[in-house]
Amino acid sequence: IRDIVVPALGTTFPMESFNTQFEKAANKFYAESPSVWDFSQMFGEEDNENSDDDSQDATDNYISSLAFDPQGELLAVGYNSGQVVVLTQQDDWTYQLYSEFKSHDSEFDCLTSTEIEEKINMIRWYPFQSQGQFLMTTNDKTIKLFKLWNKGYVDDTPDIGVKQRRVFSGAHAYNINSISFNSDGETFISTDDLRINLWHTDVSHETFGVVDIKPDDMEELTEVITCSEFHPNDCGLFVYATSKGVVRLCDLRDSALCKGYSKTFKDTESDIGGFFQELVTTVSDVKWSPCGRFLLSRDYLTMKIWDPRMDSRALRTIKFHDHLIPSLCDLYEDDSIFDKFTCSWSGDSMRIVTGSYNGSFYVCDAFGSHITQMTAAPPSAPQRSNNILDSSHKVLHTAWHPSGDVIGLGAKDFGFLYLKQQDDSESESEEEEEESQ
Amino acid sequence: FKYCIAMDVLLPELQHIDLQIRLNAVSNIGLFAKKLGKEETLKSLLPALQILLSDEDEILAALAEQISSFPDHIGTDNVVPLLELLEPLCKAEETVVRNKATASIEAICKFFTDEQIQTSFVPMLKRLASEEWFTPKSSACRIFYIAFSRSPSEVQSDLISIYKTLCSDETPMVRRAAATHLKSLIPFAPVSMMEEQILDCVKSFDNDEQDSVRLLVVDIAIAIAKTLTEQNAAGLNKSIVEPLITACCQDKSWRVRFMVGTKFAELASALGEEMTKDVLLPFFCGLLKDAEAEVRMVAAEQISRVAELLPLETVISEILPILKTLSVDEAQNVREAMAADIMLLAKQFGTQGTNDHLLDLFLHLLKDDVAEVRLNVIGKLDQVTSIIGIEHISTHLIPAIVELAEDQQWRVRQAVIAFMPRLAKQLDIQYFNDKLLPLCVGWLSDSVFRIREKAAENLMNLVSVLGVEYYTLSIHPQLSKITKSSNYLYRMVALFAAAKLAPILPVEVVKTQLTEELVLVLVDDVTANVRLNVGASLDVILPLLEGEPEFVASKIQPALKKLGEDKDMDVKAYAAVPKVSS
Repeated sequence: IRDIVVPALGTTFPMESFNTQFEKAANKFYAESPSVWDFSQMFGEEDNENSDDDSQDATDNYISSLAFDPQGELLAVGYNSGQVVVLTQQDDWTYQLYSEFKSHDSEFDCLTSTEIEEKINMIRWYPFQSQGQFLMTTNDKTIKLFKLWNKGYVDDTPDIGVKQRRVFSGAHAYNINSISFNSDGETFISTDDLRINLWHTDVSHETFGVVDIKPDDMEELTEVITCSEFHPNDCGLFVYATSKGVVRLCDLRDSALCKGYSKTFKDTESDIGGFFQELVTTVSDVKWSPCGRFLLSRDYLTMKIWDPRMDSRALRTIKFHDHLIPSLCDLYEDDSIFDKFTCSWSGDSMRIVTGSYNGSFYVCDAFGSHITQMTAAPPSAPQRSNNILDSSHKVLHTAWHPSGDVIGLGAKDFGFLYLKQQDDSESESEEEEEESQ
Repeated sequence: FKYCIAMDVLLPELQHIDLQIRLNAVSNIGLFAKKLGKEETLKSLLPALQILLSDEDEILAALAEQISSFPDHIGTDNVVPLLELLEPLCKAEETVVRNKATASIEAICKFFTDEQIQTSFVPMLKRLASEEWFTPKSSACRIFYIAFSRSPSEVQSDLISIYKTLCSDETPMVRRAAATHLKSLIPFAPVSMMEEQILDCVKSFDNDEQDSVRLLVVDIAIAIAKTLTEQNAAGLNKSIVEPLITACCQDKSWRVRFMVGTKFAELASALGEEMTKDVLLPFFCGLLKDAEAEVRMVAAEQISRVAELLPLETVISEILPILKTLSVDEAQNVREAMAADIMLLAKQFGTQGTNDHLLDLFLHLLKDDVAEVRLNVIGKLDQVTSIIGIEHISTHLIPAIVELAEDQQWRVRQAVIAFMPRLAKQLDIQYFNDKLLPLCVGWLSDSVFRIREKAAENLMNLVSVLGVEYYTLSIHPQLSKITKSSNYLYRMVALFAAAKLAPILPVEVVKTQLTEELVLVLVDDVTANVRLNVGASLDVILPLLEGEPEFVASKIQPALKKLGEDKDMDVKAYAAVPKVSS
């Protein structure tokens, strides 16, 4: 008999494929805390002043990553241009500019004669608080650690200093897709298409390879790693997901050298079949729930909740993209089928959010049945027709505040913040269209 | 007025916009203080240095380091004011700065009186320990022992309860710092405290969810064992230390078991022979058979030292069988570690025991596929031959050495060369000349320069061990032959060898055999590199022949003159170096 423990629900529930007790408690929770969301803020790049400068790519201003800090005071936004903008939360739950800096510059790799893009693939905040705030950013090849701190006040506004503290480079032959801090406060992993490296935050000249799925003969390559994450509390566990729709759980405590995996979680229910089968099951994001008891994996058509103790099947499969199935051909033609959508958990591990096309995003109950679809747009924007699939408007990036009901979304060059409606007060839709930079 | 001028020069430098200038200024603060004198330093310099506390990390680190030298410069009788600068530095964010600050505190606290410790140091420690961020708390753990070791027992009780809160801090960083430095407090704790508060602290580490905290328990256990023994309370080891070690050896994380492995010998000697046999032995055997190769490797490195503490029959019955398994371990590094260590068992086993039980093991390892394993055996061979003599192994040894001497990896060949002098000492001379001298000569013509160089050195080592006669009889003919080699690279080796050998041979030999027959014969060599090295070798030989002016004048000077007129510029240059004393 296994039990499900979700802190938000209080007590422990024995699980036998969704025992009624558990469902009842979950449904009660969701009934008492309905998920209604209001637009709060929009931020985005102003039109380019030097529009006659053709060298500046329009996609430079696209958001490429989002992350709330663990204390819930800051939101970091990374861009294709290598810029990082940090916003800070005000008393009224709006966000103002806190700091801004250029994290990465593009480089030229002489060996392969290719350009290394400055695009920020992922931002992670250091899990512990101290005099300054630390965040880690990565592009395809280089990871950097920055410190932000309040230097003092200049005319009532805080003067925020930014300093690059460490550079971790030269350890990845392939493109880095993820970084993740360990709960021990001193190590982290970086992941590329085929390998995962373990680093110590104080040591930049040395790293340990812990996972290597490169075949001896590259002709035999069939699978790449798409994302990975350390467990929020257990210093030995991490997961990585692959293009074959597989999520693997690894335990650093087992052995020293490039290890096998402890458990595998594989989608066994997918029923698309045919040419697109493998393309749609590739996992684009994997996230541990903040309580550490569940895993969330996002593939093209579904989101799956896994209990790591049960590898036979997913605890829940949330199908919210079935309407895309008829259009898979078109989505393949314009390459949209390769879009990597991220997903995020709420701080209480009860809800999840992910983005989609037509500028929409979905907030789903993790253990209940509600799926709320919304469009990321200020209330004043003209209504979009949802009948026609618009794959150019996509919300790729999502982030959920660690303790509050604030969702951050990134859709091309615009960012959105949504607040959950409070049940007791009047619904306060804050219709500020703030184009802050 | 001395002060005005000095401070006027220093202050702008400390505030200069260029980091390097500030850094230079800070790096000389100690000397500056000396010049100012004690009173002015305390009155003006220390307050002025406060402005640096918001500067870059390199400045903070340099400042922290400089302060440790202040007692030298301003005297040791009142160094307490230095804490005003060091306390904020202990809170710095960058680890390097905090470490330098705590190191400086350790340095200057030697000059605190006991009263100053209580009035100034202890309050500072308490402040650091109750700060909000993990950074000052980690620093507090580092310097805790200073207060603890110099306080009366009531204060110690107070301090230990503060330390306990650090041990259960919510951040792993502080818990790690507390775990790392607990062992510095233990020698100063009375036995009663050991059984209560200290044990509570350790238990919380033992149960910590972070591997990086649990693995620090091993060092703490060793410190407790040592202290209990010193305080004649070794009986408590069973109740206090044993459970800690049990938990570590059975930990799910290989890193924790690895830690126990690296410290096992130290632990065993701290706990004593009886506990080693009764309690530790099963754990040790477990580590030698651990699932993780890294753990087996570090345990294998400890075998001989642990065995020393056990009765021989126990080693034979319990450990020997495992050794047989380890000798065929699939992990190369395990076999390497084992090979390096078990040779030392010969001493304990004695002649008969080594012959009966260990010899086969050594010979098996001598035939291992991996060169490093074989090298490790050969490297410690003298431990064995001093017990059982070399005759037993020489039949197996020589083929192994010959194979390694010709290994494709030059580093392996280099390692073998290093063993030659030792073997020359132990083997029968005829036997050595027969089997091993040809190898030594062969290396002089190795394709890798480093090997040729080492081979030349080796000849010098052989002569040191075997004597001058040996040079004349066995080595010189070979060197002479090489001067006629068709390859100029090998001819040069003769010159290197001559230069290396000259200092240790008697003058007569240097004159005739070295200089005439090896060096001067190559003055007219067709290759410039060779002629160039003639000059270089003569430079070494010349000072040794100061008592032979006729020889120098008749043989060496003409040669140098000839080289000095050589058509090659470098040859001329090298010929100009040797100084002929007039």
